[in-house]
Amino acid sequence: MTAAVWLDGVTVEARGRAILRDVSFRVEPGERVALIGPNGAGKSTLLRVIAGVLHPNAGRVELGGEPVGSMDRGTVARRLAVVPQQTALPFSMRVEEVVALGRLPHEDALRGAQPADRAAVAAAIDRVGLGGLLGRDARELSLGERQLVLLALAVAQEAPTLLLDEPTVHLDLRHQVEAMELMRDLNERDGTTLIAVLHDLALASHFFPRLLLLDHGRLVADGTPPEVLSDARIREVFGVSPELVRLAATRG
Amino acid sequence: MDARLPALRARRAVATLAFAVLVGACTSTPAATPLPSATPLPSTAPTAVPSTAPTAPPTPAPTASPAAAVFPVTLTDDEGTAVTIAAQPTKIVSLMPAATETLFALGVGDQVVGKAQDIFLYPPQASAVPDFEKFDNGAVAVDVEKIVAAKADLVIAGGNYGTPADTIKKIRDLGIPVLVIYAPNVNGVLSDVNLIGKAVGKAAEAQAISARMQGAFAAVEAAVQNGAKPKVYYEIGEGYAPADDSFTAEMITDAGGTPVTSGSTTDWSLSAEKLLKANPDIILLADGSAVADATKRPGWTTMTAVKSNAVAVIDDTTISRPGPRLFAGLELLAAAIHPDVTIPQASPVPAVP
Amino acid sequence: MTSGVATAGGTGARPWLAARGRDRRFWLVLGGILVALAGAVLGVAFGSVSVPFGDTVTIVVDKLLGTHLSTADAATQAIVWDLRVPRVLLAMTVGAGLAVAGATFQGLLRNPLADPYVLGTASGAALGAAIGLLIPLHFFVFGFGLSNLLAFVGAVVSITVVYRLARVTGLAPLTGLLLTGYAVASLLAAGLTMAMYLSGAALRQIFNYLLGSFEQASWERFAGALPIVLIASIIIATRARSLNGLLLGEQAAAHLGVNVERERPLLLGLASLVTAAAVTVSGLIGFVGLVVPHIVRLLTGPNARAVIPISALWGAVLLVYADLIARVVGDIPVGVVTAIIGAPFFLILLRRARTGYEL
Repeated sequence: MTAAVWLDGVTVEARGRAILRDVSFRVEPGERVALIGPNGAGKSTLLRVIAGVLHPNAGRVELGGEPVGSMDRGTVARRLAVVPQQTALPFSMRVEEVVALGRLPHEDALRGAQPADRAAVAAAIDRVGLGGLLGRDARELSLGERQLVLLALAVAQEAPTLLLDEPTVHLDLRHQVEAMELMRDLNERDGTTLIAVLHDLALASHFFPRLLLLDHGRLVADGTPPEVLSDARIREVFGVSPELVRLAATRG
Repeated sequence: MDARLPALRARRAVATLAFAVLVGACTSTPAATPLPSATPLPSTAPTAVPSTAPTAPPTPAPTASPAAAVFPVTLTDDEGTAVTIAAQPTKIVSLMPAATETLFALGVGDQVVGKAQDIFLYPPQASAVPDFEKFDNGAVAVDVEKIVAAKADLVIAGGNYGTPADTIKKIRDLGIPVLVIYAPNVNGVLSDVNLIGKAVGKAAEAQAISARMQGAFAAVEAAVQNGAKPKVYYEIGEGYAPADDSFTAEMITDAGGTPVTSGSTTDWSLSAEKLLKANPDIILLADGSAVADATKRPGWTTMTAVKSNAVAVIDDTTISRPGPRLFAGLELLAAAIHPDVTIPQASPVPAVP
Repeated sequence: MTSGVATAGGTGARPWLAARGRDRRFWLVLGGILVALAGAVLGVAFGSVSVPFGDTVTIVVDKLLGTHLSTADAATQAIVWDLRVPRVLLAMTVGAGLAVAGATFQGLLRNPLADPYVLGTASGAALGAAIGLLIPLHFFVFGFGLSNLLAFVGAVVSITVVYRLARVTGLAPLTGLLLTGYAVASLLAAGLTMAMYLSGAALRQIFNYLLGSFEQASWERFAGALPIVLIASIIIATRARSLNGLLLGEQAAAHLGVNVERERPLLLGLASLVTAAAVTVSGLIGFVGLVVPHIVRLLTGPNARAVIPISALWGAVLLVYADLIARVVGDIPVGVVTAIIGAPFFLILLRRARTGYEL
């Protein structure tokens, strides 16, 4: 089976420092993977490499079997949707207008949004549960609500793979869990391949069957949560007592 | 000849009347004190109108009266200020190019210690005189310190914002007499020549000069009097025309033309539409525009002047400068407006160093 | 038009998902065309010389259809056809161009306060024009003089310099552009002040240029400006998708399939070209490029597919009426009229911006 995402020996250097060192892994279609690691491990950089906006100094990146460097941006956008951490809005935009941007890769250049596009937007808004926010100015929403709008935008993009950069960072606990459940739903019901950068180890280990652990630019572990988050690992990579993590996980 | 004298006097009367109307209607210089009526021409001056002979013999100057008998003198300048000059000035500062020309023509060029910067400098001898006034971005900048350092005993300044009013006040406050001149019409130019002459102790010479100028004017006006008075658009800038009753408009009338004016006594702008409607017979470009460029402007080909090739470039200097060469300006204008008429050319007023 | 909150959980096409106020867009376009036509008619009918309306109509009809209905004299015909008609057309062209350029710069730089002159175009054009007025070289081709040519060159050179310099800075592209634009504009403004200092008599002409005017409008100038403004604006309009993608930032745009490295210089270049052409024929006219796109966006939403063409339409309307007012009231520079109309609008806009502007 062609991998949804395949990295081989990816190295990224900037200003003499190696941000990613020889990172290799495969993500099969339909998988749900969390990318974890301490700050500065290179998680966001890795996402950018996968999305094709950052070209590695060495190594190969393939999406669906094709090198991402050889694809034009439009093709990449139809294969991969990215949910960023946050985004600033200089102009007043309604929620549905923001979500409608997700249809850009599919829109006809000259004719713009067609009924099919509008249906996809409606479906995405329903899926993410934003119905109550329709017509609101996106700039007036809380950070958590805005996050959901960006998620709906990515869902509207109808790409087989979804990359999320810390999607729960502004949400309270309940909404974090809801977001996690939504992601699991997108993955299990729609078959969307999901790669999410998460900082919350408990949520990651609870909702994601596979974890990729990054430390100082290296992929130091790749497997199920118990495999990856061994006591030694937690102590060594995160520098905290494993009890803290374990405690949160058992509560779920 | 004599028949022309009353016509001349009539014209002068009209000019004075027009001038009085201008004074009454003038709203553009609210701060300036109303100008007095022009000093009437002295009837004792030899006003014999010369024949149409091109050169009028210079009237012999009366024997120079001893300066001591003339000074101290109190004169009324063109702003109505009484200016007392204690003794014959020996260090004169001229802040108006026209006054510089007049001073040199009167023979006191040696005593001019400072002048206004002038790109159309005349006479050439004046270049030796340092500039005490410069044009800075279109604004006038007078170096008062230089005036004081030169120990000036007479300053000739320009009215109607020619020289800034506070500069004039500053110089007067320092005890230096300032004679303000302003000639809104041709008559005023003549009276200013005489005024300056009296101020520097060369009254007789001034009379001679103004008489010659008058004679030259008369000759020109006589030459064009009976002919047609074509409509003349005198372009001082694109989108501009002489204001009603302005100096330039009067010059054009005296030169035997009917000036296309701006329609206002204070506003000098004339839209392209109004110009086309006015349809002048002659167009004189006094602003440096080239004939080929001007005639290409939209709509210009419909004007009589363009259709009959009566568009010409003209040098504005002597026409707009209210000094002793004014008659040369009038001759130039008349020749441009009436190319078929022989315009008498008076000999230039000699510049005495 | 749009209903209130819809129930969550349902599916099927919903009327509110139609792009904001489709009705509104229709009325904006129709209204704009009607108002523009009225403005054109008024603009040709009125001026400093009064021409009977019947004459105006017959003159225009004669010129367009080759008939001989008019009894007006040559001067009146020239006034209507050689002075007023090109002036109205030029005002509409410049107005449309400035509005499109303003909308594009606002979208590209993600800055609602951007206008067509933000990256130094104005200063470059003004300096070029001033230098052109100082050089005693004489030159008059196709309705344009040396000063116009240098204004165009100045505008293009300054935007190129800003763009090149901005790439060298270590800043994010947009911040770099804005700050470099500001720095270069300041430098050019100093140069302009120096040129004005040296100019003496030409100062008045430089001022006239800075304030903007359509006094020198002619068929030649219209023919010179129209192709650039029209073609560049059409190309910008076809790139509406890229502009929409850029609404959330360059990163998000890239993720949505916009080739930012190609689109950014392309859109910048096109908008600058339009601005340079406008500034060359009519001097610096402010507020059109800033205020019109804002108002349109308020009414239609930020979708560039609507904002670009509707801004062009209403930019044309604004300028043709502003020029008419400037002419009829008498000798006011058109830039002053647009400021008088635009500034209050702008203040109202700012008051309505509830959450303020984010960059």
